[in-house]
Amino acid sequence: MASVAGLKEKHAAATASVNSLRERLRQRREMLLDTDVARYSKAQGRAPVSFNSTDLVCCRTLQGHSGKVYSLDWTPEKNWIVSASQDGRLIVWNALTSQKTHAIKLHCPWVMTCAFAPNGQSVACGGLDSACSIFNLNSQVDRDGNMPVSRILTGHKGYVSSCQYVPDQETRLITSSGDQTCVLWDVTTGQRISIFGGEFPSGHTADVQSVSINSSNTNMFVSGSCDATVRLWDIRIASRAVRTYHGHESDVNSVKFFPDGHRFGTGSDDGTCRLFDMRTGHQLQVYSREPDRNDNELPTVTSIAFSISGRLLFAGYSNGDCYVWDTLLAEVVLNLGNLQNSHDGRISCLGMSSDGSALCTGSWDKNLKIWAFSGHRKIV
Amino acid sequence: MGEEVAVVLEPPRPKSPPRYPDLCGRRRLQLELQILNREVDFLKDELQSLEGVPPVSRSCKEVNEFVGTKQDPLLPIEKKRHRSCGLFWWIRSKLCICVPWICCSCQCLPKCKRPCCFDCSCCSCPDVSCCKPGCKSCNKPCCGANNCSCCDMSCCKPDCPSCSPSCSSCCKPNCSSCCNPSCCKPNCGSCCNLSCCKPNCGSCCKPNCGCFKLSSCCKFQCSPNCCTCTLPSCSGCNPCGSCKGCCSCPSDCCNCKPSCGCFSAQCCSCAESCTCPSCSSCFGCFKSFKCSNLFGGCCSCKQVFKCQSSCCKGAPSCCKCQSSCCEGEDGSSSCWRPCCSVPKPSCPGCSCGCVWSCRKCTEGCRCSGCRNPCCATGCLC
Repeated sequence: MASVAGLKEKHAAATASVNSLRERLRQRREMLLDTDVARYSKAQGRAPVSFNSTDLVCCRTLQGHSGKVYSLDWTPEKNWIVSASQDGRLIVWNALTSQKTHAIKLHCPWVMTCAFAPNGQSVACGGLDSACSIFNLNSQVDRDGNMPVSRILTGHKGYVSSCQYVPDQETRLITSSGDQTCVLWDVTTGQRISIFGGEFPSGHTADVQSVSINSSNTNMFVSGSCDATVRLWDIRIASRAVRTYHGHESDVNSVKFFPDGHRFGTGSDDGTCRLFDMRTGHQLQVYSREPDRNDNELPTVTSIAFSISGRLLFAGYSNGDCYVWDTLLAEVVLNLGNLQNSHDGRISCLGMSSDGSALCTGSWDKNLKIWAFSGHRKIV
Repeated sequence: MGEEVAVVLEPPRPKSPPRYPDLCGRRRLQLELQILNREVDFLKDELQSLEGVPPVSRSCKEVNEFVGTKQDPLLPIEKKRHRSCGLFWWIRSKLCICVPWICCSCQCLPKCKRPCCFDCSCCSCPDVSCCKPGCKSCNKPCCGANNCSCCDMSCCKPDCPSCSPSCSSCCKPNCSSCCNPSCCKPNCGSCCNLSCCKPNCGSCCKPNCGCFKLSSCCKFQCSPNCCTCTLPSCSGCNPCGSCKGCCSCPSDCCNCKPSCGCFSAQCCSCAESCTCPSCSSCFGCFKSFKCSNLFGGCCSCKQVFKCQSSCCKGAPSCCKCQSSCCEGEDGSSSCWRPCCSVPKPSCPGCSCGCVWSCRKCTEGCRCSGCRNPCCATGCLC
């Protein structure tokens, strides 16, 4: 049996090996970094996106929460939204009419995330109770007017930060957690199908904040973490991440797949958004704000969403800004935070409707707002 | 009914991730060595996978080709193209010349095949090589190879001599005076800011961290040494005031009387006495709830509808099945399938895309012709 001294020697050698390999990887990637999306697009003569001040407007304000809004999700088909708030409720909205169709009082009020099932009949939520609760919207309420929980998914050892149903599968859900793992659940049985990450460092080494499932290939999803990395997972292979993406300098708060299914965007506490290539691991573009003239700390990115064509990247920030980035030219084309009827507080969540015609933002000012295009669209 | 003492709910404290078993000496080292060797294998695999991987420009090309293949309802209108510019455009494209005065007078959008830095608003500086120190038409600061006076993230490299110390991107791990989130790593010394304060924060802890602030030290698993993440007592507030938030119990909320009868969360707008919001702000009162006025003008939302099996036959009072109900289905079905059994009006070109700007629009659909979002209720904008 090896002595402790021998093991220490091997430990030091292995550590040096890891550091050396990481440096080689970094150098190899730098050699392949011959351009970025913005430089390439400009060289191709891409015309910039130009918004008039009244092109994108706030056309609905959804009021009803009495606490900060933390999360929202659209239905895949109808224009319904579910939102989760610090007031301990989920509200389901008809976004077109601004009507509230359901108001669900939660057993644990510290909710952090919510999601709509693909058929629009169920919603899921999770938070500090370390569990994910499922509600069937067709359920009868009890005598107190409360909707019963259909299923509680327990097993995480930390808070549930994000959840998303697998597209077109009402029975499969993926959650991310403060216990550094992601889990794939069978909603009908309440069982964990797979755990991604965990005890061995093939997974994240800090709290996982966000997940995004690839709608073009639903076997793949990405997760963003406080360890400043994003990891790509294949739900059929839980033992290790397919790839790890480095670049951010602080917590990754939000990840979202690009509409083509081969790239994904990220938003981080370092104040930047980034675009990565899923297959090669390359960082394609950094979307970073100009530093504040007063040298204040950079606002952090809390949430992101892509428009349906991929040309626009919406990013919500901790200071209430909501930048609309031209994805190709890496320029800010609009700040929804400066428009009329904008939010009064931090943008905590964003979501694009399934048909790409509207963006919903949720804020710590307790409101949700719907933004849509109101300019003239005909081509002469 | 007298005022009740507020019940301060303790937030759930999720357990920390499981620690490795605290085996002494040899076994712990063996476990760590196993983990490191596994990491070495992963890194070697990743290095191997980079062989033959195309450079970033290939991915950039794919992104450019993809964007524009789908119509985007949020993108502004295409610029008008004057017919008189058509011939000029063709000539220009053949000559590959960017001549500013011709470019600007026709209001064309020239696509210069070569970088063009004339003082013409039509042309843009397509790449960094265009941005010379005297270039006036570039909208962005010019960062040439030898000019780092305009300090931005892409410009300032670690050995950039002219970047001022305050330039955040100049400050790499061994920074001293430039203290910002990108500078301060886990073993930070004097740069004490938010990014220093990770779960194992030592001396870089803010004294009054606050509770449940995701960006601060207390990331829901704050350690007792670091900051105080307990809810201050909301002794002045009663359940009517809904003191669930972190330290935020609006003072006027504490005047709410339990007998208010308001829907609990909305009681927090109480002034001198408990004035409940009018029924119009009760939850939707749409499908399952109806406002009923109680004494003193307070309202509560009670469930009044109960879906009958006849709902699937189009009875308008049903709270579940509306126009999306599938005709012909048995009344006991739950109508869960979204189905557009109501004939959709045709979508003239001008009503496509106006779903959100039209207040009369209550249901969206997809126009079969233009594939744009449309109003199913035939709203014309």
